[in-house]
Formats: sequence, C-alpha cells, structure tokens
Amino acid sequence: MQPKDVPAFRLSDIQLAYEKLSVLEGLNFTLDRGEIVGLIGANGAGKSTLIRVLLGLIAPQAGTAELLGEPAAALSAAARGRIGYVPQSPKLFAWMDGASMLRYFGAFYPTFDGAHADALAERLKVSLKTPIQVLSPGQQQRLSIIRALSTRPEILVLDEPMAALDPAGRLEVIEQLVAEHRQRPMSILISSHITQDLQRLCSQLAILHGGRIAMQAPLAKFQALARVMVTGPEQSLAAYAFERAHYVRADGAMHRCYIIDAHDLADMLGALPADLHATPASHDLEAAVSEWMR
Amino acid sequence: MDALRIERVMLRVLLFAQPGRAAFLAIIAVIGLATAWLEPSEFRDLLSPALVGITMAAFLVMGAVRLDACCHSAGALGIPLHLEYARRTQLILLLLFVALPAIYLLAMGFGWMALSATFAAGVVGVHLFRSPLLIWLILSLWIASKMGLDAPAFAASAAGATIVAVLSVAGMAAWLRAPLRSQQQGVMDSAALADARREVDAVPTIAPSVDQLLAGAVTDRPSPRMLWGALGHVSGFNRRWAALVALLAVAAFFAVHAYRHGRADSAYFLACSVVAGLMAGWPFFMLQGAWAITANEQSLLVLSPRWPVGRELKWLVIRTFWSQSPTWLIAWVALAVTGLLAGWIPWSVAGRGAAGFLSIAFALFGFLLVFLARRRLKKQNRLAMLYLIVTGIAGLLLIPFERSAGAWKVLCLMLLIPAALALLAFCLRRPQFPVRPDADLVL
Repeated sequence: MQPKDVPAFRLSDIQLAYEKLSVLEGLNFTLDRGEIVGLIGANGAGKSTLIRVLLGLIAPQAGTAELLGEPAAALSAAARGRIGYVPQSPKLFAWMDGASMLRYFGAFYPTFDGAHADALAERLKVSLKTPIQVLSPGQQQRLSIIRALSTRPEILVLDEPMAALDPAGRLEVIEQLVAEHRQRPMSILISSHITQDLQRLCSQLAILHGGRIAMQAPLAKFQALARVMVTGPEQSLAAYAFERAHYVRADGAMHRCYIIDAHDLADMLGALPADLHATPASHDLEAAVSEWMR
Repeated sequence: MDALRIERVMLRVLLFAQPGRAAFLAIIAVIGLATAWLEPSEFRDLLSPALVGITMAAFLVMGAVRLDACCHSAGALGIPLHLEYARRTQLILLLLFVALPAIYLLAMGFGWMALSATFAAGVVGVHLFRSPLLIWLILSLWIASKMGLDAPAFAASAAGATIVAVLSVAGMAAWLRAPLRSQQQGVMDSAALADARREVDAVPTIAPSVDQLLAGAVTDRPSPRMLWGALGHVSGFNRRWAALVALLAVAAFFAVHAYRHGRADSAYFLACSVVAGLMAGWPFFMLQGAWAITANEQSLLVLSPRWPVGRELKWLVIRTFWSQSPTWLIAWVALAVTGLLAGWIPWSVAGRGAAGFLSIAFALFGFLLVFLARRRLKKQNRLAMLYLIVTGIAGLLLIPFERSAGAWKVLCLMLLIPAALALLAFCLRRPQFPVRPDADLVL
C-alpha cells in the first residue's frame, strides 16, 4: 500500500507528438486521492491522448507518468487491479453479450464483483443478454461504465462517458458515480464537454489547452470566473496586461476577452487605461471554459 | 396479377440492375437453349449444356450477391417481412436457373450429363462468392484425375448424376439460409430498429461461449484461446468438423488409390500436406485481422491485473502456434502414419510432407509476428508486404508437388527463414499490444 499522500496520478513535463503534430507540450497534471476532476478541452486538444499516457497505454516522448506512485508504463499487477477505465469507444467486445463480457472480463480481476455488476445493470437498465453489437450506443456506454465499476476501482478514468447518453441516462450515471464515491475512497478523472454534468459530479476542473493544463482549480473557483471583453485601439490593447487574468483571447485587433476571477473585476475595471473600454459578460461556467476552446 | 408482386420486383432488382450484362447473358442462354434443337452430335452435346450451365450460373451469381446486399440493407433498415420474400425469391431463382433448364435439357435428350451440369452450375453459382466451393471442386477434380478417375464420365452416369444432384441440392438448401445471416448482419451492423430485431428473433453471436473461452485458463493466467477469442477471433469455430470431414475424405481417396494401384501417390500425399499446412496456418491471418481492429479491447486487457506482461505475454502469443488448430496437425499425422504403416509412402516423402506442412503453418504464424514486433500499425506496412511476397512465392512454388527433394528443401527454407526472423524480432522487441494504428490518432 502506498502512503495516503501519494497522488492518484501525476504527469510531469509530458511531451508527445504524432509525427509532426504536437499534442502534449510539457504537460503537468496531478490528481489527488479522493478528488473528482473533470477534464475539459476542445475537440482534438489531446484529452484521450492524455488519458492513454497516464494509463501507460502510450509512452510519451519525454516526461514521467506515475499512477499510484508507480511508473505508468510498468504498473504492477496490484496497481492495475485498482484502476477502472472507460474508453471513448463504448463498443467493446461487441461479439459477446453483456453477461459473457462481464464474466470474461471478471476473470482478469480478483476484485471483480459479479453481484455488484448485476445490481448496476438493473439500476442502469442494461440488458445483459443482448449481444453488445446490437445494443444502442447509450446502452453500450452504460455497460462500459458497469464493467469499470464492477472491479471496485480506486481510480476511475472515464473518457467522454456521457457522449451517447440521454439526459436521464447522464443523470443516472452521475448519481451512481457519486454514490460509489461516497461509499469508498475513489479518485475519478472524467473527460467531457458537458459542463452541466461536470458541475454535478466534480470537485475540480482542469482545462487542457495548447498541450498543457491551462487551469486546474476547484469547481467553485471555475464557477466564479468572469468574462470581460476589452475594446480599444490596437496599440493600447497590446500594451495592456492584467496579470491576474487566467486567460486572454484576442478577438480581432480591437478586442480581447479576459477570463478573470469575478472578485478581481473591480480591480481590473479600476486600473483600465482611459482609452480602453471593458464590458463584463455573464458569469456562466460553460461560456467561460468555452473561451479556451475557441 | 398481384401474385408474387414483391418477388417480381426483387427479381428485377437482382437480375436486371445492369441491363446490358443481363441482356448479354440472356442472349447466350437463348443460343445455348436453341442449339439443343440441332441434330445430336458431340459438338451439340457439349456446347448446349455448357452454354446453358455457364449463363445460368452467372445469373445465379448476380442474384445471390445482390440478394445478400438487399438482405443486409433490409436488416439495417428493419424492413418487415423481407426475409419471407427473399426466400421465395431464392426458390424462384433456383426454379428458373436450375430446375427448368435441367428439365428442358433432359427433355431434349441430353441424358444424365445435362442434369449434372445444370445442378453443379447452380450450386457453384449461388456459392461462388460465399464459400471456397469452387476451389474444393477444382481440387477434387484434380485429385480424381490424379487417381485415374474419369469424373465427367461418372457424372454422366445415372449414379453419378444422382450423387451430383443430391450434393447440389444440399448446397442450394444451405444457400437458403443466407438471407437470414445477411439480414442478421445488417441488424447487428446498424444496431437500430426493434422491428428488424424481432423478425430475426434471436440474433446469434458468432463468438464462442464464454465458458469455451475461459476453459483451459490456468487459475490466474489467460490461455491463448482466452486472448484471441475475446478479440473476436472465432477460435476453433467449425474447424474441428471441417478437419474431420477433410480427414475422412483424404483417407478415403488415399485408400481407394492404394487399392486401385497397389501403391499410394507421393504427390497426392504432399498435396495433402501443403493443404493441411495452409489450413493450420490460416487462423493466424484471422488473428492478425482481429488484433488490428481491437485497440480498445486490448487496452482494457493490458490494464487488468491478471494480464501477462513482458516474457509471459510473448510466451502466450507463441503458445498460440500449436493451440490454434491442433486438429489439422492430428489429421496430417494420422494420414502420414497410415501411409507409413501401410508402406504406401516412403519415409523421405513423409519427411518432405512434414517439412511442407510445418513451413507453411509457421510462415503464416510469422505473418502475425511481423505485425506484433512493429512499433506501430502503419497504413502501408512494406515489411509485411515483403514477407507475404517471399513466403507467397515459396508457397506457390511448392504446389507442383513432384519437385525434387533439393528444391523442396530450398522452398521450405524460403518459408522458414522469414518466419524465424519474425519470431526473433518478436522475442527481442516489445510486443505491440495494444495495437497502435497510425490511422487512429485519438486525441
């Protein structure tokens, strides 16, 4: 057993490129025990790659990836037994039916709990007798989540698990994840574009932008972000800098969008040069995080 | 006039989707039917059944291929009652292109040969793109000719025509199940409409049962069957029966030949060895295909605590070589032992047969290892192409079985050396598991 202060995973200075396409550039990311972190990023930002690196499925070109204190590329059997993974593609072992897949998969895990799997299938309304190939994508996704939870993992990594689920299904899955998290210590990393779901589930959010984690903070801090549009002459805009801004996006030559903490708004407006004009936008998590994805 | 309305629509779609081709075939068929009215002669007796048989087979090929596509689409779209209409359409096709021409030719006095020709053409037509029936047929005819049997003369006799007709009818009956399979595949591919699912009722899973997969697994370590079966490769599916039937057929030919000539045919034994090697090695092609498309499943497996790592994984893959199809090895050994004990083949020929069998099976296994030893799965894998070219040429050159022992040795080495290099690379490098396809840049 590792000491409690060993993080669930730690990625340090990760560099990874596919041919000439750089995906992760000096990325640092840590998930502490018991935390639920939502990973947000634009399409193609590298969320799935990040997840595969931290699970040791892809070797980075530089940097270190540790999972439960062990190198991700050479995890011990004990460490592997404590990880649950839901890949982006839900169509897994499509040639089996749900029950066979769970039985087969369970044979690889000493901690596999068949009764728990059955209970989850009933709760999430998944037919285990139907061939997986014939299940709808939403059902396949639920089955994939059931499979991961049935091994009672300490670390659960979910790669866009809500993509194919209807609103009720998303809620059911979130409730189940919250219930599991309450029952036992579990660290969860979930990548998703649906900020509503992340707000319901996560204690932290992390934004992947430009091959790095641009911001990782408790959910409350994200919810208190403000967007401010600053307009003015090009030279003044270029000369102006608000150091406490989390992110600045140029929107043409005459506009800048600043993401700042809401409580810094008065300071920012007070210190604004006379030829610049600031317009605060709505305090909306989705709108704020979307700025990183534009 | 509404009788068989939908079937008539289906027939139009199946047969006249390319009117030019259909018209050309129809003209040839009419010429074939018309030549039956000529004065009986050797020319007429050969030309008319040949023209009729070939054109009818061509019509059936078109019909069978398009019917598959129709049924697949019907399954995907959930078209109700399509299966029923498809089956009736099949029966109409068989009536039009097998039964009626056979009756016509019999009525024109062509005798049993006409019956054999039309029925054999019919069964080849419906199975041409479905099963290797034509290859087996040609191989059987070749074997029969090697053994001094006059297959055409036999087919022209009453007994021969009856056997051909019965076997052909069995083949055609097997074809009647094809729409169901295509429709099921369509349903499974679309995974969409409930109506379609109801119609095909229990959708079969092609995978072996999980009990079959888990059997043989040592308490906490997976067996090769557990690995490859779980990746969608249907391990051992129907091959046991295929091998048994093949073994019986081979043994029968062997015994008949030895009885007729008082000795066995070495070339025949070597042919059997090459075919058995091909059959034993063929699963590795399938495994390569299954491996290439299951990156996500493999990711889950490598993250599980009981998944073998390092040397253990390599050993698991190597064990695949003899665990995949021992039936063919047993069949070959049985044939060789029978031949040796009866004195029908000399030891040298048995040795050449063993070398051929093992070289081909090992070369096909090496094809899988070539991929596993690479760092990535590229869209164009030149090394694998080169491997296939070298081993393919060597395999093809083995086919004229009367080669000298020296030539046989060289060809076996051409098969073995690339496979041994692939095995060496696999042992020295980190296996590509899970597969990392270049095309799959998941960000």
